Amino acid sequence: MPHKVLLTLLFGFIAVIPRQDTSCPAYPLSVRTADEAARLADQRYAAFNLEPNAVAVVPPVKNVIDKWIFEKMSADGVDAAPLTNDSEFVRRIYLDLTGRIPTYEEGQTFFNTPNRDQLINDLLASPAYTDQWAHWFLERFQVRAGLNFISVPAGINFYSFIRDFVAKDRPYNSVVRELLTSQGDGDVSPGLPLLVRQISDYFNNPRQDAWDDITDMAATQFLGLRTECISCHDGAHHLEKINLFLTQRKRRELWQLSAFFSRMRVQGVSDDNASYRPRLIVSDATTGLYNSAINPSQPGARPARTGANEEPVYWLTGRQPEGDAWRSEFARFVTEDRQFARASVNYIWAHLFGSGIVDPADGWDFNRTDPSVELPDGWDSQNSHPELLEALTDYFISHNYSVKSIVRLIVTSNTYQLSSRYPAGKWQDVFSRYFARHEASRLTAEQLIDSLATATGTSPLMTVPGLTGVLRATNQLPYPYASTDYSTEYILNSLGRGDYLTRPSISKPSLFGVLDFMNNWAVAIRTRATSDRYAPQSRLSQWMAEGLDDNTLVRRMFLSTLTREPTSDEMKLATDRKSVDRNTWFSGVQWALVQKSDFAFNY
Amino acid sequence: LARRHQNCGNHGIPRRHFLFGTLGVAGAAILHGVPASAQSGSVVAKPRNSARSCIFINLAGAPSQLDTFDPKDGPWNPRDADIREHPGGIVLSRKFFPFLSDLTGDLCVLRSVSSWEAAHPRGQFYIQSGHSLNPAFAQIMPHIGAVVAYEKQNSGPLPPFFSFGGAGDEQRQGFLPGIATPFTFSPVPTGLNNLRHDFWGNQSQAFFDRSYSLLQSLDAPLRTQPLNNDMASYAAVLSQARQLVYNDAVVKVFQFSPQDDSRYGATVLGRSMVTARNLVQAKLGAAFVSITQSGWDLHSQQFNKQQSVNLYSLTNDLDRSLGNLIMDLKASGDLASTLIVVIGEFGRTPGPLNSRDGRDHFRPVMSALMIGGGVQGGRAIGVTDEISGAILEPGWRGDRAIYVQDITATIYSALGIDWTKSIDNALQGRRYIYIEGAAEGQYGPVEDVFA
Repeated sequence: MPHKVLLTLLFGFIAVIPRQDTSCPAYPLSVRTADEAARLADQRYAAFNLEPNAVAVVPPVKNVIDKWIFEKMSADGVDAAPLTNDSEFVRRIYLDLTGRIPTYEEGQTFFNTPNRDQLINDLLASPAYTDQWAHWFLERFQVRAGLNFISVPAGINFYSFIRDFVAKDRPYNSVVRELLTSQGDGDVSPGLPLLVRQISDYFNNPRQDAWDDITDMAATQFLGLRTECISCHDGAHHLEKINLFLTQRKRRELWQLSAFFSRMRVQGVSDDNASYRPRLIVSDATTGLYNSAINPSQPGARPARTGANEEPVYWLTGRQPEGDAWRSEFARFVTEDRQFARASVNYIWAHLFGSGIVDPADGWDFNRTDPSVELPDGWDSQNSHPELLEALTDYFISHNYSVKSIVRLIVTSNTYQLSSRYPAGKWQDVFSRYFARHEASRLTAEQLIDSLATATGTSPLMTVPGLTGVLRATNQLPYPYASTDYSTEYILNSLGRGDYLTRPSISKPSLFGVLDFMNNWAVAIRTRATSDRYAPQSRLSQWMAEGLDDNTLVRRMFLSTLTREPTSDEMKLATDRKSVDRNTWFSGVQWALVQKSDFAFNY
Repeated sequence: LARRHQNCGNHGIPRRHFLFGTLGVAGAAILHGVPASAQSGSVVAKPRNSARSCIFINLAGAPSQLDTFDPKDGPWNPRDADIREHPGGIVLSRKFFPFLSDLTGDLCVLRSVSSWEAAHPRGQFYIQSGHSLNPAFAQIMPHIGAVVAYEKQNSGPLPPFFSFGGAGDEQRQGFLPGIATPFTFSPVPTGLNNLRHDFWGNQSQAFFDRSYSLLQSLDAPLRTQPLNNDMASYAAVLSQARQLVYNDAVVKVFQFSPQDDSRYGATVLGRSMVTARNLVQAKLGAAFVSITQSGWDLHSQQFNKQQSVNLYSLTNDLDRSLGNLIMDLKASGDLASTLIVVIGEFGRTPGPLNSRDGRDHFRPVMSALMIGGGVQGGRAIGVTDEISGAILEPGWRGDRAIYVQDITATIYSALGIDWTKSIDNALQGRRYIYIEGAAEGQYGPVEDVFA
């Protein structure tokens, strides 16, 4: 605790004010305090040492991931959860790779020949993998048509660009280079919307704000480094208790990164009738640098940039641009920086496990993630498995930045295939940093609706203006508010999907969303055993028509909805038909199964 | 070394304003050279507990103080403004506020309020959360209604926090648990259709009861041994939902008569207000109702009735619905235990209109209203200059402008909540402070509003 120096005499009191400035309007004390506490929580993890001599129970090592994960668990005496059974595995892998549960038939096929690696390869090669992982990137990049100069054609172009990258598994480094260097008309140039998206109110804000915003987006998304704080002030006297690396950074260093974008020229054209927004045309000049010149009547959101006169320096690796094309040099330096690969695999890991090896995945403190940097007193590593992270980074690079390769490596590991069930009474929160069980997470709105449609055999059919063809899954939607299927739109919003702009998906259940999922017509109709001219014919109604007996019906409903056999207790509950007719009873069973906790979760 | 920052100043109050609560520990801390910020809860808060619930009316877009609750004579007023002074120093336009003009005995007008912000998203974040906006952490910061919900928990089948009329981008529960999630929808006279499962004719309720009970039995093992905390909270929401379905008292809360609908204006705002009335009167657990009226950002043509949204339509919509709400709550005897707060995110440029016949963003002066819930009506707090562009007399014991933090503290106090509190280990070891600086006495309730 340094900096208790400034003595002030005030109304008879002598107050000692810490020199550290805690009055940053963008970083309120409550959040600062929270961050400090989070760091202390990390410390508790580092100090944790259960019974180093105890023999930990871990599954066999299948690949490099297991080697490092199980080695640390063994060293610290932390038991692993048991491996998933086939039901748990097949449900999880379908959700993670395709965004929905397996159908009844897909489940049966796997149970008959439970070859996990084969299934993984099949799913990775399926079109549904593209749906799910394109959706993940689109949610991360938050590009939405209709706002911030993104027209509907531009939004569709971006969507198609991302889907094409995922479908072809194009090398991520070259995709990111394309995103950062796109030029031309935002309506036509497919990668450009990611940059244009950062340019808010370009005509009334200083262009330096746009450059800073682009820099922060790029640093956060591609390097895991948040730079927002140092876009207003030096790190010193602000971030001492939060982030050691950023504490040592100066605002001027942010300008040096931002300078790479200072030759971007943006021209607005307001002939876009599609969304009533001007579109932007982006080009690059060969002169110009990051300066402090600003129209005083439109000063923007950041403090004055007094003395700024910066040429670009990518100080993370110490590189300076050759030639005049600064923006493409930035793209080159970022994608050739090992941290780009490291941060990228860590993001993917965090998506599949619920938390990163470096956590949070978008909040790296480089002074605490690199084992070769000595930690000062009171600080501990942010990196739970440094050797593993480097091994994954090597793998990603040597596999030509293939996202699919990393996903495959992760999901084939026994670490990923651990169960979410941990022996009763044995779990401690600190075990989550060991990845000792698989963390159950609530399905996103899109996953829930697509799984409902899969379980009941009733796909929502949607058309989207600007796209040809019919969509059959909600994770194929290019962005919210796009489809013509309003009942599906309604329920997705009610269940908390994000808006691809500023509001991320909400994973917490809301009471209203749960009420809608219970009592909304669009959900109820899919669970009915009787077909209806207003509704698609459900799976259950087909099975009823086939004349299956009670037990077979219940078995099939369990298998198609929960991807597992009913227990004998469950079978008894579900076939105890009271005094109602068969249709009504089994409609109720199907409804109850899609409301169950384990249906709502990926576990 | 004052640091200049567009839109927002240094949000710390000068230390001479350590005026709230008893200063015992804080004073001692300062004398002993410990930074005051290291002391938690050093001010001893004595919440009033004068209100059971709060209706928080958010005038989004920022209303002009001069054209609403702090009018002054001047050439900018339209000829039909009909500005009149009422007992207690309240001044209102009878044209804009015909209902409220007859209810001034219930109104406490705060005219010495000042905002920290002059940009809509930041200002809105402030009044919704009581905190300065940090975009990086905006998602985890709860709405003040969520804090109230967290404090009050369930006291009936209804969730404690309701939110109506917003654009969908309002603050939500943030890091707080599921109980603090806002219950949000657009009210219509026929009520909510997700409180019934009417897909099976006259067997519908029997179908639902039977199927839900099957669900509960099937889910019992996971309720006893959830896979993690998230799954436990999902099960809790499932159970809470059950209490609302086919519950006649609950179904009725969300319905209202065509007469009430037209009396309140049959608008989104009116329907939100009438639902708020029902929620308060029903006493089924609703503690905080947030209602947003959008459209106040009148940069141009503000008195032009040809514009779909103008000062006449906004004030009259607000006046009619709020006036009827006050009258109905008074008639049912619930006004005394219901705190109604009306506030926007900042003020608007004072004096003459701008070149486009509107008003632009203005930080230094804004107005707010408080009604009921222990508030003494028939009074105005604070005096501004002849164009409502500067605070001449703060008019309260804080002896400075009233800030959002003070308004928030007032709400918490009225609802019986210690506004100096913080939540330790709220999320992965993180700590959340209800109101920055309140524990050190920088901010506190505007006690002067209370009877």
